[in-house]
Order: sequence, then C-alpha cells, then structure tokens
Amino acid sequence: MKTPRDILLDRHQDALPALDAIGDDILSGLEPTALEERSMSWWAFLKAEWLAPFRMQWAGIGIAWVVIVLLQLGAGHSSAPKRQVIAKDTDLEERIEERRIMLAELLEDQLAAVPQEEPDPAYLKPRSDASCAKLAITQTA
Amino acid sequence: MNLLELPAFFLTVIPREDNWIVHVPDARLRDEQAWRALIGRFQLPLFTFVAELVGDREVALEIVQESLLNATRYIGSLKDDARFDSWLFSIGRQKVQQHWRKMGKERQLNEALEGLLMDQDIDCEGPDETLIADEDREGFLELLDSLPEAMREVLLLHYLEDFSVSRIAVILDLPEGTVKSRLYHSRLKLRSLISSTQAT
Repeated sequence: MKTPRDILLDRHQDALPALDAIGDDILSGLEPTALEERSMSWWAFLKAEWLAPFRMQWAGIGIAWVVIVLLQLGAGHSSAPKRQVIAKDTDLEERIEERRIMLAELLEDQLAAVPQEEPDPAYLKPRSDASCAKLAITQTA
Repeated sequence: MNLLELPAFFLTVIPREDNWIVHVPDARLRDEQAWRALIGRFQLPLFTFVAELVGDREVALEIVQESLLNATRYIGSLKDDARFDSWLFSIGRQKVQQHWRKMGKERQLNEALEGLLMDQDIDCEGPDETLIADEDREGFLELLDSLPEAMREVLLLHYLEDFSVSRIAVILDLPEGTVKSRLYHSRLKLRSLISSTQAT
C-alpha cells in the first residue's frame, strides 16, 4: 500500500539526477552573490539598503531641491535692492566715522585751549604728610 | 476508525519533512546550505506537479529551473516563512501558465462541469487517508491523467504537499469553493476506482 504522493513521486524518480544538476547550477550562481553581499562595501550597502529601496522618495526630494534652487534663482532680482541698502548703510557708517573724527579733533582743540591748573602739592603727598602740610600752612597763616 | 485505517492515520500524524521551515530565514540571506536543503526538499514534488501538468519532461525541467531561480531571486518578497512551500508552487504554476500561453493553449475549463461541481455543499478539509494498493498504482495514474487539468492540479497539490483548500486557492488564484468542489469530485472518482478494483 502506498500513498498517492509516493506513487506520484515514484513516477518521476528518474528525473532526480537532472534536478540535482539544476540545483547545483542554481547554487553555483548563488555563491558569488552571497560572497559579494558579505564583503559589501559601505557604498554598496548604502545603495542596497537606503538608495535602491526608496528610489521614488529620493527622486521626490531631488525634484523638490531643484524647484527650491529655481525659485531662489528667480528671486535673485528682488534681492538686488537689499544690496543697495547695504551699500547705503556703509556710506552712512563712513559719514558717521568722519563726523566722529571731526568731533574728536574739535574736542582736542578745546581741551588744549583750557589752561591747566597746577595740582595742590599737598594732595599729591600721602595723607599723613598732607595733613601736616595743611597744619603748617594754617599755623603760618 | 477501524484497524485498516490505522496506518494511514499515522501517516497523516507524523510530520512529513516539515523541518524545511528552519532553513527559510537563512535562505533569505542567500545562505547556500539553506538553499541546498530547500531545493533538495522541493525539487521532486515541484517537478512532479509541473510534469504532470505539462506532460513533457524537458519542459518541466526548464520550468522547475526557472521557478527555483525566481525563488532564489525574489525570496525577499515572501512575507511568511511558513508559506515558502505554497509560494514556490505558485511560482511553478505561473510558469506552467506562461508555457501554455506560449504554446497557444488556453485553459479549457468545462463551464458545465464547474456548474455541476459548485452546487453542492462539500466538506473536503482534513487529512487524506487514501492508501493505494500496488496493483492500483497504474489505475490511479491513468485516472489522474484522464482528469481535466483544472481538477488534476488541485488533486496534485493536495496529494503532493497536503496543502489545505485555502492554500490551494491562493496558489491557483481561485475561490475556495471552486477548489473544494474540484477536490471533492476528483477524490470521489479516485475512491470509486479504488473500491471498484477492490470489489473485483
């Protein structure tokens, strides 16, 4: 007594050598791929794991960047007045600097015109000497 | 259950080379040993399935080669490791269909037969306990050859890998009811053959 499975497999047993050859052929084709994957470089890994599986997403991001760059280039004309403003600002700074120099020169002139008083010699000495000097002055007075 | 049915019962209880599942995760990593084990396990049943359908040894060998190659290439698309067997057979079945198309042979499904088969409430789930005597071997094979392809492929999948109705339905891309009816009627024919030979 046999199961239908056994009868069916018996019927095709003679194909086993050919099937084994096919299996070996497939396995020999599998080996290099397996070795390649094991010694996969970081770039190949990146490509296989991150780039290839998300092609559409990367393409979308790329298109988005191209659009952003084009918009930026298109907006180039509107950014020109800003540069003029910046240029104007530098002119203003130069003028302010000139005024500041002029003011400093005027102040120097005024300071030079004011007579410089002799400092009280008593105040130049140490406090104890100064008090003695003051006392001597008052006594002589 | 009578005593005569005991051997068949044990045949259904003892797992049949089911340790192939452990090789599937390694096969996903293109491990050679894992693929050797899987190919060794399925090459003959797959060839038998294909050869019985196309009826040409060389064509069947080509189809098996293409199916196994595709399996090694696209195993990443397999969602459930436990479904590797039915996935592999579905690849083989697709290749058979491509071959038929190439040969200009369209599936000639007997609509009248389908209608006749569909209108019955059928229960054909559960293990198959059919045992065939050596003297019935040729009769069984002749009966199998005489069945329409639509019935033959269901019976082959059922006998070769003991696939459930739902898994056969997935492999053949058919409604479960259709698979049930085809399986029921083909098994009925087989039983009538066995009982007639036993009576004589």
